[in-house]
Amino acid sequence: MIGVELRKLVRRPRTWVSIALLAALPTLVAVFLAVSDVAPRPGTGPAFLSAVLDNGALFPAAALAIVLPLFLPVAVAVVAGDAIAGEAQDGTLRYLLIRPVGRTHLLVAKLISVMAYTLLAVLVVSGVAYVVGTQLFGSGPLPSVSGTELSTGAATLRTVLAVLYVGWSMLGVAAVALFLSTLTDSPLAAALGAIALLVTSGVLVALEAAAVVQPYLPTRYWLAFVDLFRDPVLTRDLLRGTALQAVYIAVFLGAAWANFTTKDITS
Amino acid sequence: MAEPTWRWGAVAAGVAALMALPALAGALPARDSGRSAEELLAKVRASGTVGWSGYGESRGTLVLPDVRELSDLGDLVGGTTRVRAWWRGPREWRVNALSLVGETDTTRDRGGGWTWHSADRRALRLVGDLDVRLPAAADLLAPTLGRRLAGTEDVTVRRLPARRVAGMSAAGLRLVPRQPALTTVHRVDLWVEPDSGLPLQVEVRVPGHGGAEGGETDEGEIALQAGLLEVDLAPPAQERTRFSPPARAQVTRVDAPDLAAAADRFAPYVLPDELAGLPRRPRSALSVGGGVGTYGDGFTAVALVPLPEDLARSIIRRVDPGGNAEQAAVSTPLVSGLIGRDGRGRAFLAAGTVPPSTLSAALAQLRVTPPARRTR
Repeated sequence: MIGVELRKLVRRPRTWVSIALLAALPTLVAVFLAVSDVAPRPGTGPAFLSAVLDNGALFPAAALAIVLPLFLPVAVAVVAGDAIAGEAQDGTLRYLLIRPVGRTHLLVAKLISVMAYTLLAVLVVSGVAYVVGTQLFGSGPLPSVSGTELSTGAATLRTVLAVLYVGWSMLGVAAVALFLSTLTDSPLAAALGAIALLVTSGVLVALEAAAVVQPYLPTRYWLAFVDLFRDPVLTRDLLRGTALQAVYIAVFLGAAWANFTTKDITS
Repeated sequence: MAEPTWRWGAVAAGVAALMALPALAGALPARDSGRSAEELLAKVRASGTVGWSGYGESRGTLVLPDVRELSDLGDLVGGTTRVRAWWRGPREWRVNALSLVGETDTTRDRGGGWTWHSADRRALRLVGDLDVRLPAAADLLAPTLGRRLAGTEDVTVRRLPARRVAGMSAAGLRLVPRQPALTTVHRVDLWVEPDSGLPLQVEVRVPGHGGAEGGETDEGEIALQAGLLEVDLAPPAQERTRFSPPARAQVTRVDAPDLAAAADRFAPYVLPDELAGLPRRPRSALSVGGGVGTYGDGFTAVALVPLPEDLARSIIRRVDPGGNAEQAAVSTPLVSGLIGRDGRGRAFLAAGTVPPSTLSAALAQLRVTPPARRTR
């Protein structure tokens, strides 16, 4: 079942088109930067972008910061929202469940396929960004945000951890969308529901008056991957972000499981 | 329909358990050390040599107009500042003020200090000491701010119940000014680590709006607070407090990093020994400047800063766009500022933790007796 879902993911053109689009945005930004040689004024624009002109090895981190606020979560929400509701909309869900496959098993298979997509997306975005960045801007020793220089090994490790952290953050989005996908027969509604939650969270994170609820908002610690490039690494928000996403993943997957295993399948 | 119930019940129980965790951790009781208020105060004053490292936040509720010349002051006193710090002693420390995507780091060494701005990869080298400068993130660190406020003699001090701060039991201290009419500070509450005397949390309160305004029973409102959220009470390694600019960074040597430091170094006036009834504070023997005067004792602090004409006009225009370019006033519950002119039309800024009427009296005094020029 898991193999079937993964094969389906890889064979679908949609998977590759959406990932190509994700990788295209940072590439477009890089080309404009390289051609015009005008970096954003320091302190404005996405993280790391003003430092990229000096050092292309920093571009994977900058690319993640570019797609993180909107593009990446939307892509993940669409794929995860489609997981169950898509089958229901196509009328294939009943036939899937007539086969001797447990509902929990099907849900796990769908989940693993969504996880694979998320990981694939962040890996391709950062991989493409690394190639584009080093080709266009050259590379050098990676500077940390704190004004020290990182060795190549440390810099690579931190970049890999940043990619994994962003991937983990996206799994929270995936869990919410997957849960909504078990509630409705419309993949669009499931994806939009997850995106609505993220937009709400984004608004509240920026609002000083909402400080009480901020530690519980799903997007609160997304940008904490920047802390990996401080020296020494500031683990505080990274640990909190990892734990918070784990809670979102556990709660919404639990809810998805509780709902889906007992649901009346009508389509 | 028995089946769905247990599944949803399991999910609900899991959510409830997860949500209860922070509340449980916060309910851990704090143990009181039993030390007297005077003993703790003495320890706080001597805590500058205590080595520590940690993470803290400070939060202010004061709204200042957006004046570029005052650099980050508005953000410092009107928002939340997140800092990491490594402290080995008063001349060996590093404070990193963190923003979402960058940081501004200040390091202090025996020869002076470095300031690093990650956003534009700029490193500023400051040689020697500054007697006068604008407040920076390092001044709003709970231990630094707490020590500075505890340094004053003109207060009565008593114990407050212990509180858990940064995972430790911290002993509470309340400082109340002896002459409340002189200052906007209503009271200062400190929570300190009882063995080292390191202040872990500081709350500066101004008189509240309740019925008992300014009285003994008035708890006041917090205008400025600083606290450590994580702290390690071991001296950090030496390389943590050192800075050397990275390759391809822009390095500049500066003598006077801000408006106040520049005025202190270059302003050519002999300032009065007493301003609006407040005595001038003594300066360190090694001081090179003297162009800025600081007045008052304890929580009562006023700075008198001579301003160049173009700078004064530009600040006045920003503070009071519709005004007459002669004077402008800013007032918050804790800090107030007034730019005005002396009897010869020269611009001065008076600012401090005093009621606005004290600042008006100060400028009135300058109008009657304008400061003479310094002879070099």
